Amino acid sequence: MLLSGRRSRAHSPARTVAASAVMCALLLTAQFVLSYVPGVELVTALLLAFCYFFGWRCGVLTATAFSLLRCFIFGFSPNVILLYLIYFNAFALFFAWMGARRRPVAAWVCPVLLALLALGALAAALADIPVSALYAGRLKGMAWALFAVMCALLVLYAALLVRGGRGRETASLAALAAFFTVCFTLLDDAVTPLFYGMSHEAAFGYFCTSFLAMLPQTVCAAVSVLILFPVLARIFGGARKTPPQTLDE
Amino acid sequence: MKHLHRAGRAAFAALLFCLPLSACRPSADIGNARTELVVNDETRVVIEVLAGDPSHSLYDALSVFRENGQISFGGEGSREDFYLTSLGGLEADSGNFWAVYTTLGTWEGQPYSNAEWGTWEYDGRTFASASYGVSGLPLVEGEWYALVWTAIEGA
Repeated sequence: MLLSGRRSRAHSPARTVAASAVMCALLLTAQFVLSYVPGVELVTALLLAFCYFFGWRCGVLTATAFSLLRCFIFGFSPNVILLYLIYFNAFALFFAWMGARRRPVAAWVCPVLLALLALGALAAALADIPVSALYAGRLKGMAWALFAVMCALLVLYAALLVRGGRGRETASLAALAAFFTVCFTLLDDAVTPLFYGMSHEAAFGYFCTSFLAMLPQTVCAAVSVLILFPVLARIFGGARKTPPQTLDE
Repeated sequence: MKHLHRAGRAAFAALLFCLPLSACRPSADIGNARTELVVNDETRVVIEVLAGDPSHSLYDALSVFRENGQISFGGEGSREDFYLTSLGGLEADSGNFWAVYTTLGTWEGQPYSNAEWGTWEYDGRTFASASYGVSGLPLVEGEWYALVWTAIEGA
């Protein structure tokens, strides 16, 4: 009976819609305010924590509403709408599943992801990237910065692994957030050239220049999740009051 | 003989008339680069780079001309990723946009334009469609850059 009462509260459509609406407004505000600061975003950290604690129903509803409503602020671009709908729904499902697991990912997963990202950044820093001379220096600088941040996260993760508890969970989520952010850019590199029917050469140029946006965003996602997740966990954990609906199912 | 004298005088007068005109072309110094605004009318802006400085972009040159009050332009983004949408008060819309063309082909192993995407002719020179926006084109000596009001195909 008690379980049934808890389930009905957690599954209440009004509750789901209300939580999603508030979160969607928060995401739109965060994206709009920070759109004036290149490479800085908080959407990843906010949505991640929300999906983690509120489950896949709220997560998918928020991700879909956010992807569509942001067009009123940033304009209607079909390729961007498609990109956001695919990416943020996949993001919501994944981190809701992570929250529902009630245990951190295997200890080896995050170091492997971080090492993979660090190696990718190192390769970009050392390689001769075929872009304009005006972009090459900045790209290499950003690649080195990303490499340094990934190495720092690896060290931090090792330290948190030793400490255990929520620290390890936060470090895992930060690594996964960085990985997802890279996937977002790679998805854009596939969707946009396909949508506009770009030639292979133009698509490759688009891929190279997309690094300019990807590198600071990846660093920002990792760092913002690392710093904000413990705070957001307290806020969302307190606001939810009931276990995530996915735990009850 | 008289005709030859007359023709010579006319040619000299024409030269005298043209010299100040070419000398009056607006120019701008950006770093070590020196650029000249060759054409600036409603639908075209053409810039020639007299002395190059590849650490500066076409955007930097346009900005100096704007500061000097010789052109006006607007758009989105920062110096590094500027997307030009209006020039001389003419705003890009669903039917037209400002296309960037340049004579700069492959420079230091990197392609900066592609004639397959379109070409534009001016003063006997063939400009190819640029691979980058105004922020990604370095100022290379002897090269020309053009912004041309262009209709979107199929619009």
